[in-house]
Amino acid sequence: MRKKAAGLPLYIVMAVLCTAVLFPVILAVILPFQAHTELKDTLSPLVNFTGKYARIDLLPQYPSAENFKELLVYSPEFYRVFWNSLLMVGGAYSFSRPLWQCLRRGRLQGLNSRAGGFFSMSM
Amino acid sequence: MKKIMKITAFIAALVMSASAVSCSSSKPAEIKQLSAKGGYAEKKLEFAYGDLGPASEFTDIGGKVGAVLPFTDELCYISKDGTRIFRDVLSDLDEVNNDDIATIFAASEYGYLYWKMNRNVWVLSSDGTENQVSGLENIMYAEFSEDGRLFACNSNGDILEVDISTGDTKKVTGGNGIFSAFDIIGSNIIYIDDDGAHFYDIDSGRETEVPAALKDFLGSYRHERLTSGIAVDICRGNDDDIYIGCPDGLYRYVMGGNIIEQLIDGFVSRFGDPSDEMISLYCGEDGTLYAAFVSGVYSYRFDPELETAAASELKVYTLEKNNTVSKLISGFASENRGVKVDLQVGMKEGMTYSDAMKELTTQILSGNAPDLMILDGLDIENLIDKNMLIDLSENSEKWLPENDLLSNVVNWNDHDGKLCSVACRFRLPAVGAEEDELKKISSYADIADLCEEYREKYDPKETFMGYYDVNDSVRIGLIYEWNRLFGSSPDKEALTEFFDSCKRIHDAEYAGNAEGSTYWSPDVTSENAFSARFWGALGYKIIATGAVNDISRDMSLLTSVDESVLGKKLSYRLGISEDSRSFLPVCNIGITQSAKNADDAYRFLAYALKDKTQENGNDYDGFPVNVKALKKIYSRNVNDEYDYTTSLDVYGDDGKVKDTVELDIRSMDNAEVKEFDDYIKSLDEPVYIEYAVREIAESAGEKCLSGTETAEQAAEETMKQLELRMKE
Amino acid sequence: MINRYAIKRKYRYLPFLLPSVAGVAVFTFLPFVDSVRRSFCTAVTGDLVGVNNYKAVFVNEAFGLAVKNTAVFTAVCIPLLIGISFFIAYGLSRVKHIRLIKSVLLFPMAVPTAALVLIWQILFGDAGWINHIITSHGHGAVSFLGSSKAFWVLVGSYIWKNLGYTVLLWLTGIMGVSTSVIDAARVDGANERQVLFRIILPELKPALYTITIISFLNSFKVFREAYLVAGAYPHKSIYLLQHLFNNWFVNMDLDKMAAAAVVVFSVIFAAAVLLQRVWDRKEV
Repeated sequence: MRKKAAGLPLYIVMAVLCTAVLFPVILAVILPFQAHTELKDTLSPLVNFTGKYARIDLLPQYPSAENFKELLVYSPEFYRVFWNSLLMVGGAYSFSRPLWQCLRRGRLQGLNSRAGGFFSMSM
Repeated sequence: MKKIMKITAFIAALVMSASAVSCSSSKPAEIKQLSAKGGYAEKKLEFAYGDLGPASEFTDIGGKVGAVLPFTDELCYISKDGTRIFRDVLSDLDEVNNDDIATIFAASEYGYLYWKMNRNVWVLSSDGTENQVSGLENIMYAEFSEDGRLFACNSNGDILEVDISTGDTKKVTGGNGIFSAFDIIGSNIIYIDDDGAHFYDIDSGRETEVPAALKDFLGSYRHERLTSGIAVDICRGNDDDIYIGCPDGLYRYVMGGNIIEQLIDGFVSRFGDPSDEMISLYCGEDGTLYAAFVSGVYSYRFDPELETAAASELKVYTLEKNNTVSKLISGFASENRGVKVDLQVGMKEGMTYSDAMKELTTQILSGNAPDLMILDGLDIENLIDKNMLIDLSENSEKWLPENDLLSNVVNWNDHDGKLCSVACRFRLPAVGAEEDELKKISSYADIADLCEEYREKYDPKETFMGYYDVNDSVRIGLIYEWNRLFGSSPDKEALTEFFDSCKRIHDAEYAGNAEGSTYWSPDVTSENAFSARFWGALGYKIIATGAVNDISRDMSLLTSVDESVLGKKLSYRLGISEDSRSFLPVCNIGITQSAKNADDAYRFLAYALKDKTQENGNDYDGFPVNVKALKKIYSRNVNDEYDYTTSLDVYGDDGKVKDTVELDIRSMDNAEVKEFDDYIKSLDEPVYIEYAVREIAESAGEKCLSGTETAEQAAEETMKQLELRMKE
Repeated sequence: MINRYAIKRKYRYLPFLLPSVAGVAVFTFLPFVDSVRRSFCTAVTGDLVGVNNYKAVFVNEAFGLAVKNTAVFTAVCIPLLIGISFFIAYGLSRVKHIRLIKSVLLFPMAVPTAALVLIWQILFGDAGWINHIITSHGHGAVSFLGSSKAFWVLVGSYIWKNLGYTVLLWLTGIMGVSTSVIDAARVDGANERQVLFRIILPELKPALYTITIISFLNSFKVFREAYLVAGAYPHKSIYLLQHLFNNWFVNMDLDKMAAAAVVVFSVIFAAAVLLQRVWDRKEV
């Protein structure tokens, strides 16, 4: 499709949209890098409200990897859980791949969409 | 760019897989469970009195193996055939003892280390010289090594070597926190601190590596995770092995191996009985194991013919684990050796109530329903609607004891003759305060008024309510107000008033940044600590709230208040208002319809209601419902065996000590017994607290207490959730 | 000879189908048949009670509330999602850096729900960041999660999460429209609006069908967020069907659960078949 030159307003709209969509993701990524003292400011008002609201600092003042250290080094359960999830994904994929190949070949004409719908509903 | 990302992804995958691989490569220690045939038979040694608490650990003096008692300077040693205890006075110890030795920490042929009543530690060497030990304040354990060196540890985690001839100490190494085990095996000191298990070689003066199998096993018995003091004891066996005694049972570990073998299951033996406490272990030359408990000395001999494979299995389910249930189970199991009791705790560590219920539902659906359920906290009405529980009134001859029971308490859940659950114990809500003020109290709101009044009048940094937790005002308030709030249908106005009272009490209590209560005991939950608070009220200004649990401890205290001694008229009332006859049924037992082992379930219920069992409950279990047991406990007032005198500091209104008095605590006399007995026979208002509803009320209450919501909003939130719950 | 080959070729796909069919049969179909059986029995004891359970379910107030909420939620968020994502996809089709923006929009799908819930609580909680901004400007704190606004928070969360995927599907459809037709239309003097409404939209019907089905199925997954944020008994406005099923299971009301499940399945199945009919007719 030959694109008509998109005007600036469209780009601005896209930029705002992307920021809005990314904001929680960035928060989720930045929070683990905060040190415990800063994290307290963010999280403790949720548990025990004493007039102070949660603070969000998009740039941590004292970035530290201590949360990751605790997760990766001190919690052996994490590996078990992680590999369990991966195994499940692998298993589900290996089961559905033959079906995908089968549907792709289009052998079952009208059955295609119905089958696809049925199987996806059962997921 | 793409290439860099691909490489990064590849490296990340490698890192993750590397750690996964390394995690699985080290084989975890195997704990070999009991085999079906052949086990250790327990036998109590005769003439072993339960006085070995302050005695030393088992030691070999002159060929006789036993423990040294401080008060009588006797060596209580085991006879050659291992069936009885003989006593022999130790002359050298006797000479220096002027009736002031309180505890003997270590004893051997090389000397003794003991603690005198003037709070000092002394050593006595084998040549008779006695020296005071320096630097061993807060001593916790001490032990002699085989070659005569003496090591001791204190509550700071320091391990010191003590010179037996001079009393000087030298710090050898240090651990972290309070030790839960300290034993010398061969040339190693084995100790367990907050960091886990350690081996310290006394010959080389260095820490040596703990075998991996042992490290994990011992590390799980750190002090912070245990409720009683000496929880783990280790003794040396005869074949380069060690025996480990802990709340989970008796285990054997061959040095250098990878297997820790369980010899005795703590769950169904004395080792796991919360009412008894293990003091020390010893392995005899013939392989017989001896264990000293608070209740006496027992021998454990291996009997290859002993049938440990149980003839039947009884599955018991309880929502929350508590000492009452544990004691019932271990008591029942020890009397019925042929039954394997399997206790399933619904709310294990970290589980929520709904997770526990889902697990139970799944179990029931799959046909693995428990045989017997301890229904405290569960939604009994729902279980009865679903026909989950047997009607116990139909087979009452199978479980009713010969003696009478308090039927108003036991049969509180009687639905027109259909009795699906019986209560084995009960508690009584009570209020205590100065008499004039007590007269004005007839509801929880009145307590709130009084608390605010106190906060205005008296300004001390102490607390008035003696709470353990900031949310206690809600939790304890529910005991008094449950039926009014949730009885027939939730009442919004009553809820608003309730949360308002809780908030007022909370604010008045913590207004001056008062410190938390110091009356703390690990075994008692806050709502059952009425007597502890009343005790505080003897000296400080306290409004005692909570539930009363037993006669010997609680009721004796309550009825022994002497105005002339204390200088104030302190009084108590059972029930929040004059005409309230409420009680909290505890340890409610029901038998499931689909129970595979109904016979043993009936036997368990009969055991729980038997007079012997009911007489010997744990502290804080609740009052017994067996009339004969009650009478026996009442009759304890006849001799003054249970009387004692205590000295108290009484504080004035300004927060300073006014006086130190001596108060006699006596068992209830006949008139008081009659009054109490009449009262409990007239109880007619059961207060049964369901976990799910309590959780809803407490979470709304918490928000109200912390100021996030007003009392009305909290009440509305509670109402909405409960209404939704009822609609389902 | 040729016939046998033809038959063999025709049925060569069957072995590929077998694992999936077996899996679905064992793990979905058979349990469902068992659920239907349970819907006619009592919960624990298993005695046959006929249609009592269905009667109980239909008069149950909580069921009515849950059905209403689920239906309202679906009716609100699916058109919203489809509309918003279509506009974004259309706008996206005319800018550069499509791939970058597509990737950005897909990020929300990668965030696990449990982590997401924490973010929502930090933002929307009673003590959250948005309340912080509101109160610092002098207004009173708003309880997002504990009032009827929770519904809109949930809708927002659903749209935020599924936007990327839906935009992707739309974009595929839009890009698939043959450029020759559009160029021809432009030559004929059609303006943007006419191109959009007369040429692009009609070509997107297959995409619309796919997106509707997938969004509908994803709308049931929003229960995860609702449960983690607000617990088993949330505010009335976000009390969905799965909350009810969850609570029924906790209380061992398996008979009502089975009956309700059969009812819900029948409704959804009927709707799917209806949609299929409409689509098939249009296709011809």
